[in-house]
Amino acid sequence: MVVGRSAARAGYLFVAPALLLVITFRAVPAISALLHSLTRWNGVTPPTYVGFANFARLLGDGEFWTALSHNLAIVCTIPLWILVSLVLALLIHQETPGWRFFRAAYFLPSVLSPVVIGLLFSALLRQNGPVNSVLSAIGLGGLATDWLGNANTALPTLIVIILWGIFGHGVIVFLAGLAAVPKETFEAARLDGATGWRFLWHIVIPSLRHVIEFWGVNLVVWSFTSLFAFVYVTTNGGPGYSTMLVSYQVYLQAFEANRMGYACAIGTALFMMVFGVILIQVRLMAGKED
Amino acid sequence: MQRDRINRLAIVIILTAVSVTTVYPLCFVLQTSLKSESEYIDNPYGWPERPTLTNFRNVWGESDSGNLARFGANSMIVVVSGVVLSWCVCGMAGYAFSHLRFRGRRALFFVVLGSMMIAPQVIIIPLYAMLARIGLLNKHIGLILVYVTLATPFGTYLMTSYLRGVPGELVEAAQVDGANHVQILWRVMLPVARPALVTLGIFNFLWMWNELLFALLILQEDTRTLTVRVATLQGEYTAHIPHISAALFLTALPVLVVFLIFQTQLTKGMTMGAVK
Repeated sequence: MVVGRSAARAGYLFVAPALLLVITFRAVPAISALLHSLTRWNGVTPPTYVGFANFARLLGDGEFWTALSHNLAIVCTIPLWILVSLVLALLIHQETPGWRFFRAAYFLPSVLSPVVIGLLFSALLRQNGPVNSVLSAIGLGGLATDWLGNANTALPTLIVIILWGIFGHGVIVFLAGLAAVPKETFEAARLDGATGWRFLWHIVIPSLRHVIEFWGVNLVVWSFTSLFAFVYVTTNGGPGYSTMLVSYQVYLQAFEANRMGYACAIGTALFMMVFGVILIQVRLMAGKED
Repeated sequence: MQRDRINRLAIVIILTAVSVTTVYPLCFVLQTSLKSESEYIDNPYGWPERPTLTNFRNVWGESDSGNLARFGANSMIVVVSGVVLSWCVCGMAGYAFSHLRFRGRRALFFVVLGSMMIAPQVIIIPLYAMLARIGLLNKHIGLILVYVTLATPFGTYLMTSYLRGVPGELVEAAQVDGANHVQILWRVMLPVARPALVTLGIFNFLWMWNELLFALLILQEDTRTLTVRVATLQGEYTAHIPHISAALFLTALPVLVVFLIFQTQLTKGMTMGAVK
């Protein structure tokens, strides 16, 4: 650590751009969102103060609760996402022939834009698209449907698409975790005759507890904040309201309905819901420092 | 022994099946993009018998059905500037936080890192209003600044923790040689930090290229990025799957190239923080 006046001066100078950006384009808008959530504001004329009216309205807004229930439904499937990634990582970790290829193949979707993934699956899942053709070919034609256009199947289908986009990232994370576990741990368990689910439950999951925690927390935050693009290119929240998510509702209220004040209130509510989880996320990341 | 072999076979079959679900959709896009519309209707799933580049020509060139060359250039402008600026901002901050002592260093580090807690969805509305007020709406620089801001907490964290591993003696030796801090940053720190800079650059390239929400709102009409353009194409040629496929392939191509070249670095970066 360099001390002294010139070091201090250089220090301030070098952190200035980062600070300036973060404050101007992130902290100030956040405070502004908080304040505007207390106003009626159409984005054109000046906002008028309405107290907590937006939040009161939110409590009685059936559409908000529907959207939130979809968000929570997604969160409920996250343990399954973790399990899928974990099992695949475990299978690859045993240096199965071709493991390098599998690792790359699973990772592939993680670098694609949600826009590409969403449009890709819209094409694959059309009424007369490849997925339905395969179903017909193997005698399951009765199941064929317009997967994203049918209110009963749209949300589960969307969840599968999202899982397709993210599971490979989980595999990579768990592979890194597995590489850090001493070889003896697994070998000893194998000698003791632990196999299958017992091996997974009693040996693997406890040794990877921190990694699973890390990835789980990341997924929860991600599911609340990063699914906008998937919805935008696949369903627009429809059919009806069947795939509406809170983050998409913020967008619609603000930029389609011009209810900026109300949208800020929904955004603030969303923020408060995930704040606790985000706090854990930052702790896990920063905890490494000390 | 017999059971072991059956087990291994079962594992390979499972892994192969899953890899088909990740690789096939991309093959489908490539196949389809090379077919004429009539061939796609006759033969939707195989490789094309008469491959054609018409779809690519149609969506790439100056026309209503794409004009992707222009939007691709916009994306490149935004993403390359974003990556370079982020290197500068996070490199400087990383050096200061890891090697220079100044009052409030810890607190400021927490401010930069802590801003990560503010979910982008929350700030999008006031940010939009603010950019409109200061005249940065519908300008590439507006989106670039927002992207660099979003990249700053993780980037600063990455650079700081990497540069912490650089011995202080290196800085002292450079000081003895009469170098000032700008020179030390440029000639000592950044060369040493190349692996971290590569990771940061790849990361930023990928997410900036792929981002939709901010790009959609901040840029309009001719200034839009490729990802936004493609996201809004679907309504325009709902039924023309070969066109959509060509557009999707072109949009995915840069990230696929980055993926193939930098897979190792990418993997390392993506697991940062997971393993203690």
